[in-house]
Amino acid sequence: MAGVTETAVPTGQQKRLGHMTGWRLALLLVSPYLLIQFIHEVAPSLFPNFLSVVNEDSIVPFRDWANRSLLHLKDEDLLGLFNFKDFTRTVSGWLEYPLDVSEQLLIAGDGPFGLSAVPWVALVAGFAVAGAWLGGWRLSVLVGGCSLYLAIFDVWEDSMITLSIVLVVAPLAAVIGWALGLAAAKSRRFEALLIPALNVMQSMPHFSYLLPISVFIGIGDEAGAIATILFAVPPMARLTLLGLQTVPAEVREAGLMAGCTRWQMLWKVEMPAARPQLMVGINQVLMQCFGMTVLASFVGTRGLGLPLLNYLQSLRIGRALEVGVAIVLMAIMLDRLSQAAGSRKPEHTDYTKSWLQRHPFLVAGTAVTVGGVVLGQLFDQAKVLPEKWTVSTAPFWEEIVDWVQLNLKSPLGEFRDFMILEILIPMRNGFESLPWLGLLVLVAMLGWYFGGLRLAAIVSGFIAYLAFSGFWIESMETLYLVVASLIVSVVIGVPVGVYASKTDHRHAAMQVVLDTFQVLPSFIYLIPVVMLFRVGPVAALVAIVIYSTVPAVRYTMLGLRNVPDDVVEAARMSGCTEFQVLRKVRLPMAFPEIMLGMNQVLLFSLLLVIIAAFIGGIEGLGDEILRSRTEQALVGEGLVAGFNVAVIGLTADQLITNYARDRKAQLGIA
Amino acid sequence: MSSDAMISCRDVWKLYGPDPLKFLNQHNGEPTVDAVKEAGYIPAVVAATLDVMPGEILVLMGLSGSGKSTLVRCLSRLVEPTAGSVEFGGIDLLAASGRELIDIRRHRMGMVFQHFALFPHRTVAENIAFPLEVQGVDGNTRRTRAEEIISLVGLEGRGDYYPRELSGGQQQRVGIGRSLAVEPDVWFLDEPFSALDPLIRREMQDEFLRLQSVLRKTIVFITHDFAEAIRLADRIAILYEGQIVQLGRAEELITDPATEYVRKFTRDVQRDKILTAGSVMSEPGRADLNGASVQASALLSEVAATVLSSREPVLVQDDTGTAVGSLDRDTLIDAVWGTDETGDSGDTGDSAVG
Repeated sequence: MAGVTETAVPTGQQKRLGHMTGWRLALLLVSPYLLIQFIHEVAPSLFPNFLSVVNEDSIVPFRDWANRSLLHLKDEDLLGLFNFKDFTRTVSGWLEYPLDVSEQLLIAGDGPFGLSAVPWVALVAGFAVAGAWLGGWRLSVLVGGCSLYLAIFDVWEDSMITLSIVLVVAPLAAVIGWALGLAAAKSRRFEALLIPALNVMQSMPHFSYLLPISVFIGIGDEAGAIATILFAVPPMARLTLLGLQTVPAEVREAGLMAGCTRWQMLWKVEMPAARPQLMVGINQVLMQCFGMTVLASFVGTRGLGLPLLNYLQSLRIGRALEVGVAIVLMAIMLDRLSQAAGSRKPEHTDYTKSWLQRHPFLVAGTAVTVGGVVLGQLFDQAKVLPEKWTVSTAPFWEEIVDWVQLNLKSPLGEFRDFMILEILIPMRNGFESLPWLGLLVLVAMLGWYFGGLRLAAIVSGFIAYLAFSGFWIESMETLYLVVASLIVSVVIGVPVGVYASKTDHRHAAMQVVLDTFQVLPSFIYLIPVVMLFRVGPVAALVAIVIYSTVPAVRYTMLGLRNVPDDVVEAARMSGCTEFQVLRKVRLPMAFPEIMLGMNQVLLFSLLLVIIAAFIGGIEGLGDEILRSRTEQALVGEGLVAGFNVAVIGLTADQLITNYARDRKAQLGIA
Repeated sequence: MSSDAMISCRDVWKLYGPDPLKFLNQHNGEPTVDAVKEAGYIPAVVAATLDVMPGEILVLMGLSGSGKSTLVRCLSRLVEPTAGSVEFGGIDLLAASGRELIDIRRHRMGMVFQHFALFPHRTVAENIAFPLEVQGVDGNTRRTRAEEIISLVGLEGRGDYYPRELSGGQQQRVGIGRSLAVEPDVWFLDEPFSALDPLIRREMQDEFLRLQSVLRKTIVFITHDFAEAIRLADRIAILYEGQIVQLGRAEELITDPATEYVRKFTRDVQRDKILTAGSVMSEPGRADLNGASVQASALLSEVAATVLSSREPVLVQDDTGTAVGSLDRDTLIDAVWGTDETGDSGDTGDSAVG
């Protein structure tokens, strides 16, 4: 910035505690908590019970308030003007129509305009052409192959229903998110409102969207669609804002100096310059929509999720695996196509060629569509794949399941029992007996150290809310599983990240693995683990670990690779062994980034713990949300429990991001 | 003076902080820099007054954070000054409406940026034609004009390239081309060559001088490199903590530095290539009227051989042949290689230079 004199500004932590480090500092921060815990354990008679667990009478009736306001919204007119339920029903009515059209185009045929469904051969070929256009022949083979799989292996109809919903909700979510991001970029005041809202929205579990929607709209495709839109808006808003904010000041100035009007600035300068982030946003919207649409089967949305849910709950693992593979393939298709679209760079146009030569893919796309439709008119087999041509892979999967049951049952069972009895149950008991005051003091100390009094007040407010929400024990039951998986994920993820960051080759290979894992909807990981461990905390733990090790590895790699080369060289020239370089230079420099990774691990775990509870066998907040789904009178409970999940996530998020920001400033890394 | 000036800026302030205007008013519009800092404001531009004459190259020179970028943005109103006035070609720039400002920028101003600020999604030709496009000039005219500019800046055959396909020097040629597309009256260049390698920088400076010899624009050029300032400037303004500490020709800055800060900048320059005989000569009386003579406007490097080989002071004449002074060996040696005195500037008071 022009005119700013550079001075070394002490960061927050330095200001507060000088240069105290290491064990002494840790002890200082933790000692008040240890003291409370000590009194609580050794002299329980001295420790007032209400400081341990808030008793029933003192619980703040958040759930009643939530229930009542929902009922109020549902039945009464808002400000005497309109009924909220009517409003939501109207919105759902608007959605019904495009959802119908989209579905009928893809699968059902004979739509409202007499549209008949596009034949499956045209769709498969169309996917292949789109792949070739956006990403070359490799992508074409991948996408074409995946869609062919969907057709042949008897999941075509469910897949296309899911796709038809995604095709309607993703553009809507993208446009809404884009508009919000744009408004935030243009108005600081709106940004200050939007960012905290996005933070809360993004740490709410999926079901917190589904529950209230189902109250107002009931069960079905529209409810799922609306919840999905709400769920997918935040990442798009965030990335739009980021993209617009990171347009270099000079580029903006170049636009102004050329004499752009505001409108021209937006469309000719800012939007094109923000294109990379916008495209990442669209990719994320697509993936979020896909995951959420499948998950929305919990409120009766059709598509791939519904059979999966049924099979899992009736423990027909083979069938569930078959659907799971379809979900994986579709996720990969959508991800790779949208990523390829996003990374396309403008190419030279050779005007010496004819129009046809310049647009080969448009021509090919039209050709296969027309060809497919013609084929569909001629042969019924091309229109709808005959049942007898399809193959079910379920028997194959069933065999695997049987084999596992037969051969691995006892070692797996022993492992599971050992984990439950020796580790998880003691750990859960420990968490359940934590006095809330102790946790509050601990979190407040950390907050004070990382971000000053303001942060301390915010995070202790969060813990106090948990204590008085009436779901303290449930929150701790959820937290223990999250912490357990956090520990395992870090123990696995950090060394893997260290290993993978060592060479470019490993890094690239690991990146592909991580990208693939990240694309899959979280609950997919539950299918194989349920096969191995049945339902319960061990299955959840393993699924969560598989899912949330991904960010642990990713951020470790990122942090290590961002360590400047000259610093590493300086360490080598000082005579460090490779291990010393790692321990004394690279890991300390990468530590803030690794902490941000842990933050992600924690948020990922939290969301998956809730989903896992739906399969059954896990106590805690997820269980509360599940029960409220079946009984409308309990919706308030479900909402409060969902909000507790968000509050746990926000507490960790606030502490860790503040820490990482401060620490990065100290280390002088961006 | 100011009526002839292309840009005339009077007492321009730019402070960053909670309520800069109120602060300025509290201090009757003239707080000291220390008072500004003490109140927690950042003094980006402090009481800047200067005129940019038509056809001249005025270089704003200072270290990073000296306010030179902010000042040039006040002159183009990319940054809204806290106080003061800026007249642009007779128009009160700060009173111009949004529409008027857009109009002025579309037709009368061009700007080149340190990091090129090219639009990555547009080809070279599209980048160059961008200012015409936003004015609504039709496609054919734009293409013709872009072709002209492309050859003017030496990028023939690269019109269809994207910025990412060009080297740094080539990218800045595009930046220069874009800023010239509308044939502006005033050309702002914000450290245009700082991001380039030294050899390329030299080449681009030559290119810049070549262009200017053809175009004769009014130029405000920013740099932190004094050697670059000397090569290019008609006049140099040196900025320190937002203030213009001295404004004058390179020669004046060297022979008569206003402050220690200016002196430090000028210390390492090649004086013999900048100072003229006239700027360091003594009274004409001592000269050997029968000996050699030199032109007052000649550089010391050009007259060195004559002066050094003469035992007596040589005569210094102006363009008409009138004797205006004399120059002896010691004065010349002192002026070029002397450490504590930089010539007969008279300010013997501050002779100590570390």
